[in-house]
Amino acid sequence: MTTTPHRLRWPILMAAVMLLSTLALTLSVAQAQTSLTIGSRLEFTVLDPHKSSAAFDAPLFFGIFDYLIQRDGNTGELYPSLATSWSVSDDGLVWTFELRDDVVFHDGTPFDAEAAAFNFERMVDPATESQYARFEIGPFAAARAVGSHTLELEFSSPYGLLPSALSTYGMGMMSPTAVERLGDEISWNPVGTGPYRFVSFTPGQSVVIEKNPDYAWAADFQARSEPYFDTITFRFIEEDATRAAALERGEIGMALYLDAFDWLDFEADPDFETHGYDRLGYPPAGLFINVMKSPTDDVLVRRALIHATDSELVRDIVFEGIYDASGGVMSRFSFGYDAEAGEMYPFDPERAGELLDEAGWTLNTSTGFRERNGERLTIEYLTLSGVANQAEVLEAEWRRVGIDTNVLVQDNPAQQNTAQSGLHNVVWSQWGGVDPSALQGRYGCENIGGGWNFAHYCNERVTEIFAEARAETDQDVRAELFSELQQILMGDATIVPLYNVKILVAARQGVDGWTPSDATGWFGYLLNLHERD
Amino acid sequence: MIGYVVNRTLAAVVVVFGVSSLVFFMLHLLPGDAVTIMLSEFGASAVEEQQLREQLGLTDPILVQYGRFLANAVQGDFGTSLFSRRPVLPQIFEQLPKTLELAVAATIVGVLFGAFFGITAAIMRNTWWDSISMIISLLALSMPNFWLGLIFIFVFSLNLGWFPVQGSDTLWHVVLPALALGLSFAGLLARLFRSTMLEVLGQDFVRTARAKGVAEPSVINRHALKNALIPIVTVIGINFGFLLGGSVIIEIVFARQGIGNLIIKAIFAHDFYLVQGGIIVTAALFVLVNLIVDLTYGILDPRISYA
Repeated sequence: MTTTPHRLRWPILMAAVMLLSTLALTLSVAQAQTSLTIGSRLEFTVLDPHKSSAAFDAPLFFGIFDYLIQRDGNTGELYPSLATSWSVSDDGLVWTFELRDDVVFHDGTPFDAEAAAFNFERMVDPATESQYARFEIGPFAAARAVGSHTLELEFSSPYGLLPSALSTYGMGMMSPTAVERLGDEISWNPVGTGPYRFVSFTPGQSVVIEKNPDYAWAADFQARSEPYFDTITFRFIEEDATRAAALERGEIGMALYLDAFDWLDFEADPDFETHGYDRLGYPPAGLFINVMKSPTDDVLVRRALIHATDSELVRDIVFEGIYDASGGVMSRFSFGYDAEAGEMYPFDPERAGELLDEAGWTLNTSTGFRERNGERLTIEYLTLSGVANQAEVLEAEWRRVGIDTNVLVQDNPAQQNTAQSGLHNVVWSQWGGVDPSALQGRYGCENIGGGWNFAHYCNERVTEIFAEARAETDQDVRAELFSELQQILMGDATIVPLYNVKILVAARQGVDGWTPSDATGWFGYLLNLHERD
Repeated sequence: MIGYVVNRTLAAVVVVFGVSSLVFFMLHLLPGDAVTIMLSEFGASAVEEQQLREQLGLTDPILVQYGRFLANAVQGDFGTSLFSRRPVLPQIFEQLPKTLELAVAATIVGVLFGAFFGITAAIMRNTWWDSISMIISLLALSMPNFWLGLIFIFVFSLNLGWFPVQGSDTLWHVVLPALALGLSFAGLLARLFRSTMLEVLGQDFVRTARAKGVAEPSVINRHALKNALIPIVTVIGINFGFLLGGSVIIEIVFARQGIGNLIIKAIFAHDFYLVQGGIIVTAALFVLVNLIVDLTYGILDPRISYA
């Protein structure tokens, strides 16, 4: 029988204690998994950026995927990401991208020019049934790998918007190996190169993603170089009040797209922190004025309508003053915003009255409404059910200058169809986008009747500006073109600007880094999310 | 019995076919379509809109679309959701268990509360308890379930902290939604229990039982209640179907998985393959439950047979 010499017992005991405490420490570290549950409004429609056409899907994409170019949503600037540099041929038809050579997909396959080319071909392949990605890629003709990490994209006509388009949510780079292996299933089992990897999807409930431990290719402008949370869960909670209650009770750590009133409650509560992001609008929320239908076919009436509108009152009453004013057809912070055009029509009921007098609509003092040849000045107002309360405020404001208002409330897409028919004078609307060219959908002649040109507005010079701005690569020239565009559209009084939509986010105290990934403010780079010390 | 079941099943097929056809044409009567919704986010041009419509086969005449739908449906192919691009049936069946769970739980809430208030009110007719029970049942019947849901979240989740606000992971998650959904049903049942019990209690065989000296609890349980059950079981069966449909709002308020939530979103998105599939499955369930109810009559009352 052997015994441990007495003098050795203490060191052994100490070693054992140290070993045990290290083990305990390791275990407690292992237990201290960091996780965050984010409450989002709508369930993701599809987990495939090339197929998705819903901005609500996008928060996930900026976690699982990387993009050739990324946008800093705070400044609007574009930065190299998977592409380190790019250039365009003199004829503007061929773009060349140098790609990073140290990037690996979540399935272990390398990201290279072949993989990137595959992605672009997939976006335009009819079998993909892509809508948004295909729309953003514009006049795309072909993608080629001309070196192991050199990619060429060819276009059928010059496309100056490309760098901006590449930063949008549909342009995520997927693993070609995974696409081929999984077939249609890839759309529900996404494989990218981003800071988080896909784990699981529970229909109607949640999507879980986990930290990509190999992630070492964050774009330079990002606040963090690696993901913080071990897992992030997206929970779909459609009802605003329920989402707020879930955050209050700690069932989720962050709530997106909150109602203004709930958001203010969290702002006043020291256990929570709040953020608000202006959504870039083309146009911001406002009323398109139909230039074809009487009485708004008269520019004087249209101008009077804008002068008669106190948008500040709408923002105070409906949004508790949280939303900012918008200017004209673009958000005030948009690239190319023209302040002169945006502030062409300050709130001025007297001026509105003068314009209406000039147009021949005189006040009948017995009814309080204006008339011309016995006909009452009536505005047919078409709106969506979610924003119908704004119509009540505006109806009262316009009443003060003698305008009568008929309000029709519909739901989407009935409202769009009704608006296309042109039977209304004003139509509530709001659109986002990443570049002012997005206004073509709203003011292009080709979009009257069938599309989204609710002002029923067609102007030759405006058409030219859209074509020039789409092809032009010099941003200064583009800014000048957009200035001219705004001067024309506001000179013709085609919209009543109301407010800029704000994306309202609240989180438990300490959760930080929801940085907008796109100037639309709808989604953030999950990479930067972290817990403050 | 077997002949009866076969007949009823055949009738059910006709009903489900009728419902699905009605839904198909009604969806096409609504202004706008899925394409408008898909493209409205980024506002593509009118030309692109038309292209997508052609690609999805939405430009074909409605009868051609309907024929295509029927031809595929009889082969068990209910199509693919226009938005998720996933086949419709798996999407429905993965959501169905949570809706059934909620409907069953709400039925239990309805029967327990309804029977308690209804039977006690009948026994203590024209007392203060009778009045209070009927006032409570009227209140329960009148309160909209989404409002009850939000109030329950406020009281039982936020203030008392007893139940989770949202989700459908555990049985704990079904308590508040089942109460919110089941209470109005309880109100209805309480009034029904009371009136049928009163009717039965007034009949000769009950008087005979009492005259024979049968103990009062036995009179209520073995003689009166069993005879009062037939109309009540019918109402429970029909209401189970309504609870399946009525779960829509509750599923949204409590962010639960479920077929109601799925169908309502599909309707708003004009995702008509998904709507079709959902409606057909729900209609089939409704018919099935009613068939089961019919068959239970025979068990409750041996005088009823299915020759």
